[in-house]
Amino acid sequence: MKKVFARTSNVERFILAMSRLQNRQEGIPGMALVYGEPGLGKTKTALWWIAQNDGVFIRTKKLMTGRWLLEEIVAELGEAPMRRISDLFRQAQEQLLEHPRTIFVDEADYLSHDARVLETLRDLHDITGSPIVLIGMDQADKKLARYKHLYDRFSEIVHFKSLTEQDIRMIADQLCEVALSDDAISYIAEQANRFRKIVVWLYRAEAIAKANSLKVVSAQHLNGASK
Amino acid sequence: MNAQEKVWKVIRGLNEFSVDDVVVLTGLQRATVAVYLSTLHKAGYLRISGKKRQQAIYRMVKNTGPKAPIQRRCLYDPNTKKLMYYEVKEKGKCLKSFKNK
Repeated sequence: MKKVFARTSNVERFILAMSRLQNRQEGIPGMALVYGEPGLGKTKTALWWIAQNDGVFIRTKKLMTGRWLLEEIVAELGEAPMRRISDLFRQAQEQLLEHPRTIFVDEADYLSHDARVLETLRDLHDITGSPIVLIGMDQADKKLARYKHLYDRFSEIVHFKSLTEQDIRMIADQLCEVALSDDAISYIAEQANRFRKIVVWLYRAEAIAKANSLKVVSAQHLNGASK
Repeated sequence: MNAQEKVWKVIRGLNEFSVDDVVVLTGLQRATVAVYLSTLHKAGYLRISGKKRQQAIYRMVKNTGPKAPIQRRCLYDPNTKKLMYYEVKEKGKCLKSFKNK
């Protein structure tokens, strides 16, 4: 298996949204929402993007309050968080104005019950213009749609969808050391739509190809292996 | 970001990871990643929580902050400003190389 980051259609849409966010025109809000079921690679895609482009990654916790979130943001921006909440906000603001960076807030669902926490993020965005990307589970769009002032700031919404046959073809072509026939791709699509499961099938295909000196692995080979 | 900063940034966002996972996300050479993770492990930042396809699965147990621990001869943590790991005979040289930090 090749050790590269697979660009699925979800990833491609994520990259496009991020580049529009970075290069948006004056006056266009720069918040984004990335959502979808667990296991589709939202977090990994964000981390991969950060490793290439820089950015700040915040992992939210269930009990997180506005103060706690600001403390985390300030610490991630490289400062020692101060005690008063007004100072915390000012620290985050000054850091971002000085060095604008994209802030990713993972598992933003945890914040969706607390309007004040979400509004703090929106304030930080409005004042600094730094892009803020919320990452959430499925339905996060509906949960957040309740907060209209926040929702209006989302200039990009990326829905991570279950992987399709076309995605599996993209993943196989990018990662798998052996060629897969179209019926093999369809076969895998019937068995799996999560990235991790698909990769297990690709490992299997490589093993079958090696054991039988095959150039191309078909559905028949895969079907035989699973019995 | 240098290689160690990239690795540190990525692993702080993951619960569990192997060397390959980090290679995929950072695009760095395997050896670079493997050496750095193994030093972080020896210095007590990571714990091995299992194995998958003959590879150790690591878990972060000491997340000291956003600045990546710096590995040269030894491992220096700019968050805590402490020397976290060194070979005994190298200690003098290590202290010297990080004195200005």
